[in-house]
Amino acid sequence: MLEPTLSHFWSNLFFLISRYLHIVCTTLLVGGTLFYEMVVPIAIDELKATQQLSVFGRARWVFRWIVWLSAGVLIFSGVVSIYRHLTIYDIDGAAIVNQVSGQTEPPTARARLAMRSGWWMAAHAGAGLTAVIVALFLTLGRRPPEHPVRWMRMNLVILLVVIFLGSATRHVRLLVTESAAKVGMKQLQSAPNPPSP
Amino acid sequence: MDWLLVASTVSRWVHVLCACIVVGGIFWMVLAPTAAPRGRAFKPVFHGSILLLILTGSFNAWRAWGQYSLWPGVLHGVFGMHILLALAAIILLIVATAKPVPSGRLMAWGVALLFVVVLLASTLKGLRERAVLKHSTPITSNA
Ligand code: HEM
Ligand code: HEM
Repeated sequence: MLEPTLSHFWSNLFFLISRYLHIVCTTLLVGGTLFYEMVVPIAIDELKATQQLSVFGRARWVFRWIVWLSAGVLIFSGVVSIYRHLTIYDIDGAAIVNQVSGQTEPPTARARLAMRSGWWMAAHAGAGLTAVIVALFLTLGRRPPEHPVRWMRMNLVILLVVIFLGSATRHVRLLVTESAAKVGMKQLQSAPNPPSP
Repeated sequence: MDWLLVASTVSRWVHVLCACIVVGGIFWMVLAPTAAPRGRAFKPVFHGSILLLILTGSFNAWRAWGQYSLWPGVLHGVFGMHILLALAAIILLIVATAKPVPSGRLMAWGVALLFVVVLLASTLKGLRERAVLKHSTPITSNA
């Protein structure tokens, strides 16, 4: 009996750390973008143009390392999350929620689209990848791109959308999981093992 | 449309977003001390985010309270730690950024505490999801 418990402990710890790192890297990316957009331009405003370039360049060097690391960790931990929840992402949530609430009418196409958590996950991951690519593009090369602040502002908006899609994915996934548990779906056997409170 | 569900999603989004602004913003201030004194522009965003963190955190807790009660000993404990450490970090950071030249040391401690706050939040979320799954009673038997 000890073996499965131990392996569950380690796998749960791994998933917890992975989820934690996903959020931490998100904070670094969002905070860095905001800092670059709001604080750095004011901080270098009083300097001469040559000094400005040198300060901006140095800050960019630090930013580059953290962005590259965060990008790698975000993609890795994102893929870990997808692997963990794959069976739930595939479930037609609208049909199950209807079953739980006792409705006999078949769900509309819109409800089916909104209640499949996999679609939300795909939108989140796609937008997430876009944000990561823009951040990498901003730190690539020896010189910053023209209008770096404008690029940062645009990426900040993309990041806001990415975080919203992440939250929405999670809400739909939880709703579908709860409903699937209520109807006793077999797919849930591959979902995380419940604890013994 | 279930408006409470929409409100929960939006509230969670705002909570995570403000956490990103506060944790990430202070982290970068610590990393770039020369720019930190010029961080005045960031201050209203920082204070607004703290207010929103408390408001949305309270709403999220109200929504999830029934689920926390499924495993009260553990979930109430982790939740309590999340709030307590969050408040400690908030006070520390308000003190650290109050002066014209923010205290780098205090900010570094504050951001370290914030990383623990985020870890507690992730743990809380994971444990709550597992408690919900464990306590969902199948209804197929009477179907
Ligand atoms: C690059 C590819 C990415 C992939 C494949 C990915 C995938 C995922 C997955 C599968 C989840 C879990 C959703 C669930 O609980 O059902 C998640 C959550 C999350 N992701 Fe990503 N992600 C990516 C990039 C990003 C980026 C760039 C950000 C930063 C803006 C981000 C922010 C988040 C947040 C904040 C959550 C938590 C949402 C919540 O629980 O409220 N992700 N991600
Ligand atoms: C500095 C302050 C705070 C930070 C940095 C912070 C950070 C976070 C983060 C990142 C999450 C999402 C965790 C995840 O999805 O993995 C979260 C969730 C949460 N936070 Fe906070 N938080 C703060 C303050 C507060 C306060 C003051 C409250 C309560 C009044 C609160 C209540 C909650 C609740 C109820 C959740 C949902 C956990 C769950 O899903 O069960 N937070 N917090």
